[in-house]
Amino acid sequence: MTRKYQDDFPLPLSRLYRLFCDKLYAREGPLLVWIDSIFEREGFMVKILKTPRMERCIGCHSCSLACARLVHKRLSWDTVGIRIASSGGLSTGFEARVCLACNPAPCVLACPTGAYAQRKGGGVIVRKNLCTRCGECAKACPVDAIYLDPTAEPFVCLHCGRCIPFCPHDCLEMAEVERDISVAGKSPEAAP
Amino acid sequence: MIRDHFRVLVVDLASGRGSVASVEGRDSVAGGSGLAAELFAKYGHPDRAWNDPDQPLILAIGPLTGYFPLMSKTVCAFKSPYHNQYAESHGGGRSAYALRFADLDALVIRGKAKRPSCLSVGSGHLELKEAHYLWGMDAQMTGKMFRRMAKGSGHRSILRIGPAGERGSAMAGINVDTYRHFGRLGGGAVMGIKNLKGIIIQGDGAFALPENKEYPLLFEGVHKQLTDTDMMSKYHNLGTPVNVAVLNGIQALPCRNLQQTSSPNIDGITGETFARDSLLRNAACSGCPVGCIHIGFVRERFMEENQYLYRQVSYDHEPIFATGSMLGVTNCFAVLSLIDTMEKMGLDVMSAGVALAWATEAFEKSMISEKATLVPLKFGDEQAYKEAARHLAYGTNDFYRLLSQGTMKAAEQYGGKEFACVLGQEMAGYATGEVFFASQVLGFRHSHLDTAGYTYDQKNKEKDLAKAVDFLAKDEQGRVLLTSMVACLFARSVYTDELLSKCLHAVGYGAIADNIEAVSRRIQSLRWRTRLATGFNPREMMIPKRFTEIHTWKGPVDGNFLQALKNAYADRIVHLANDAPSQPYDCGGDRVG
Repeated sequence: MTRKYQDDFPLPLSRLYRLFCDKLYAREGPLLVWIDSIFEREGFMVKILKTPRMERCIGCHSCSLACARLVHKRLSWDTVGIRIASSGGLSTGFEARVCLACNPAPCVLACPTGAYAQRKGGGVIVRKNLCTRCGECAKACPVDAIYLDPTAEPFVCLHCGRCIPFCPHDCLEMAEVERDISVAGKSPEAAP
Repeated sequence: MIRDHFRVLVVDLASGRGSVASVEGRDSVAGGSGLAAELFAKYGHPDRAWNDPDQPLILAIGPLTGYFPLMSKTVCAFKSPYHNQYAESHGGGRSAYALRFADLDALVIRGKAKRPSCLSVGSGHLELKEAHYLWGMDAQMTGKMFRRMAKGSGHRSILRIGPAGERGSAMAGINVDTYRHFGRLGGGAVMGIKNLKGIIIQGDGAFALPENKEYPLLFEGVHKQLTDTDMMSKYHNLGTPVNVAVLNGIQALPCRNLQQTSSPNIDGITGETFARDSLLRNAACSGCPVGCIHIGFVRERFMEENQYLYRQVSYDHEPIFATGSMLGVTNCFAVLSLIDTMEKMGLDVMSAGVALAWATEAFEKSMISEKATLVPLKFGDEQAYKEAARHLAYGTNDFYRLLSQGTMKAAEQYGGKEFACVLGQEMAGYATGEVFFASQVLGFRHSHLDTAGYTYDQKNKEKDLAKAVDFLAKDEQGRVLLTSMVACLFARSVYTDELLSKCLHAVGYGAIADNIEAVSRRIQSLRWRTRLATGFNPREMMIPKRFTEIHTWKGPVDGNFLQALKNAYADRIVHLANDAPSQPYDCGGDRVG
């Protein structure tokens, strides 16, 4: 039986997982992979960040700023996992540049050092200690969801959901990955 | 970036080059309004005319810009073509955040470009591009062109002027990111005389945050206060246009050049009507989860065969009053269409609307002829006003050229000074009574936001001179502190001195936090001294007769009390300027960075 991680688990556990994401993101990728493997073995579903109601977006950038502040400990609207841009000028509203949790993920396939790995349940894990700052991940992303800072350090959404409470118009939500859309059906963890 | 000094980019348009100056005074003048005055002292010329090419155009943000919600405004300072004195105009959009992420506390623009140009700055670049091909283009189309020419969609701010600014009109504003403006006192003309069609600020930097646990917790608390309580619902819900019906109901809405203070036909332009019939969506300045920008639509049939075009136009109480009630236009779509026309021309909508209201009354009284107005002006005729707005922007003839320098300047030549609705500049949309009129005529920006005089009028019936002046002086001091942070003044009820102190402490500005009273008092004094040094004499400011002829819900305006109040407040302003708290240290020096 598949258990829905965030719906069925008590809230503190959900927060605990997010805390793991925060703390382990940069340095402890393998541990995160291990935790993910346990989640998969036990049938826990990890949700991904989705942006289903961007028509409501007012362009305040609160989501980006929250990601920078809470996850990356920065003041920024660039070095973040979710970036907001006008979709062809302010008169046409806004769009979010955020990881769509592809499976297989082109960024994982493109990464030459194995710094990127497919995350169980959707999204990717980036082990920054393995990253050579080559920027191939950003080039491979078809939807411009990976930001490279001036040193080519990549920033991509962790799907931790910490931006969600800061959106004043409820544009964002956590949702299960629809596995049927997976092309390969298997995660490409064996990236070169 | 938290610094004990200011990082200022000083650009010389003549050479297209710039330098980074490290300016002292962070703990003394904080930023925003205080920093702008400090920079005018350093780079400005009080004794030279506003259009001297060496006069600076200053954009300044504050110590909390980007670090907390609604710290989202930029102070634009310059010597104004309207009165040839030092002036501030405030705007939002993305300008404040773009400056923050460009790692600039201020941008100072000096000199005059050899040809019409566009300045682009960011955390790692400075470029002056020739843009003669954009000269003459309206402000909206110019914005579209700049979007194509510059990278960084979503994280850049595009400031531009329209034909009114190119021509040096004192009613020319600077359009910021389509829906916001440095509207008042002629900032657009300052760009125009510098041959500067646009300024693009790329917010492309990132910084480490203070390493403490308090900051994110405090941020979350402020964010919740702004979004989970009713404190900001007025601005989020109907927005400032909620005032239209309220003011009309208490006989405090300027109508038909302030010949009336209410209109029976107001239903077509109330905030409720705009929301019901024309509101498309809300938008926000960067860093503001409130989203007070209300964007309506105008739909126009341009061919017989059911061919339509539509435009999106932002609206607020002030432009609705200026193009609606003041001009007798009482249809929300007509108002939006008129606002749209004026904004494309790069006119300040408030000034242009009030100027055309005066022109209409003068025309009706045969003080000016159709030869001057070129179109028969009539209250309620929005088509005539759209045509007149274009004449005002382009300065088609002597009359419009003079009117575009200020309503009172035209009235001095053509007559009708007594009904020119000018309080330092064209009036704001409140006819609440004596305290507001005294506040706007003497206020630093001649803005309804200089003090809460309009609120004081609504809450106090007694004519207590000392109490009113004390209120104006103290309220201005509180607002000066906010405009030095630089907060949106809509958040004034949230950002108390106590909360500001906590915020400043959390990001590392403890010295400002511990001396908030002295810092705000010092900035208030510095601003007034700067203004006085450029020729402002509050005791000489006049209030036209029309303001004493009206009735509000309190009864007729008391001309004697108004005059006494104006004189007493003028004296207080001179006192405020000359009675500054001692400086903690000598500021004004600089280091080359």
